[in-house]
Amino acid sequence: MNALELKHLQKSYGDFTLGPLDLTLPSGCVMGLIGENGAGKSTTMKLILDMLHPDAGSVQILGQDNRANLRALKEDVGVVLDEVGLSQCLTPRQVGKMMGGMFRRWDDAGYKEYLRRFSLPEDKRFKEFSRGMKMKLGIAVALSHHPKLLLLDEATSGLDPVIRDEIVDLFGEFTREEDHAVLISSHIVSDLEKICDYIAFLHRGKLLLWEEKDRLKERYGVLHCTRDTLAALDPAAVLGKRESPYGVEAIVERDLVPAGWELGPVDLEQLFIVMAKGEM
Amino acid sequence: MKGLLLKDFYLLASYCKSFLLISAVFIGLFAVEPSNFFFLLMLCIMLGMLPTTLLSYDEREHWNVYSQVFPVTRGQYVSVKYLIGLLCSVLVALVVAAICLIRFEAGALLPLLCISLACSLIPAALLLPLSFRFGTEKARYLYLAFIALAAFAGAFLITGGEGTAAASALGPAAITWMVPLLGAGGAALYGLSWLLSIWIYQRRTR
Repeated sequence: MNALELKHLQKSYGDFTLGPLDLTLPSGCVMGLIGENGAGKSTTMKLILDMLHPDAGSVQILGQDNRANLRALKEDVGVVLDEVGLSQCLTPRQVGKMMGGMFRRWDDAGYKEYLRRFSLPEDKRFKEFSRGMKMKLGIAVALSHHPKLLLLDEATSGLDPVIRDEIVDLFGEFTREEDHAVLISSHIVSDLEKICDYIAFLHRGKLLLWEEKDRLKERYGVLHCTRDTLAALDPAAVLGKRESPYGVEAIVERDLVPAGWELGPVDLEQLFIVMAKGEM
Repeated sequence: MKGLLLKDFYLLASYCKSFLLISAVFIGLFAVEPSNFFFLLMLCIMLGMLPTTLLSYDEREHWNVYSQVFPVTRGQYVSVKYLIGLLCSVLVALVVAAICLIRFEAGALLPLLCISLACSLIPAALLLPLSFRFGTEKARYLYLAFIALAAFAGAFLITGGEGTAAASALGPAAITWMVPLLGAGGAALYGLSWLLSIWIYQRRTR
């Protein structure tokens, strides 16, 4: 079963149009939604959660239309937004009691275990938390009702590399269950590169690419050569290039490069920049 | 919904201590001097504004957005604010009833209950739909404009525009039926406002 299916999803705001988006996230997988600020990542998340009405298209969560019975569906969805909107006066202990009144499957023991794991004090007020601690509390809340699908909107932005690594590992653990899936949006591509099975590039509201990460790595490579060597290559093979006094670095389609040419692995950030800007 | 209610009670206990303290002072003053309705009216109006105060905290802390990721509907979110408003009104009514039975004749109970209900429910009934539609900041200005208009109209009605007391022209018999009508009208307006707010909030910024 697919954890998430977006079909021809569209939303317009004045001069900005998102979509049409067609994406599928199979269960057991992690999909990274990469895009610059304002690309439409948060809008996509809000459309999935029916916080915004689409102008066209549909969203299926765990095989069901998101507008048919979203309240029941949200029992199976854990969400972390870029801003954890908990009241400043609340303590994690109070948040746990509140969530116990919202989710039918709230696991208070599991929640306290996450608090312990993240070193979050149970009786400290939210306003006294650092950004990292706030995000960790948001993640603990999102995971403690045993969701099947995690939607993470910039959940790692603003965190230091050590905490990011810890959290990214946790998301990796989550998808060890076959019926679990994660959609994570970020502009920190290195985080996504580490855990994602699928990658979607969103640029100015348009879906530039949606592909398995390994397939992307197989399809594209980085060529370091001279200007003359590059000029001899089929122009269709070159996605983008960067010239320097020492030579040329180009992202190329491996299948269109003559056999025997040495190509390095492409990283997703380079690929995204090339696809978005047309140059490196 | 239980979780939403619990969250608002935590907020009340944390942010609205001074609000509740002032209310307690008004209750005390009304108990000492029950003939002065100013204390009762202020108490009712203050408590009637509590749901909007909670809503403004939600907006400031982005809970109004974040709460949508949990298994609660927009209708439930709205209803919790109205339930808290109703609870405040019932509490005021109970206090009024207790004071009335101790300090007044039992015959004064119904008019005083009607006045307290109307004064606590009507401000909330007017302010909440505006807050759900425009946000609490803009809603307060609209509400003040409305109150100013109502005060002007009220003054005109009382003086009849020519310095004659319209109230005295109506006579005590009319006042006797107007007060229960005011209470019932306040309750009806609150119910309609509740439905309107749910309708507004389900369609807001989507």
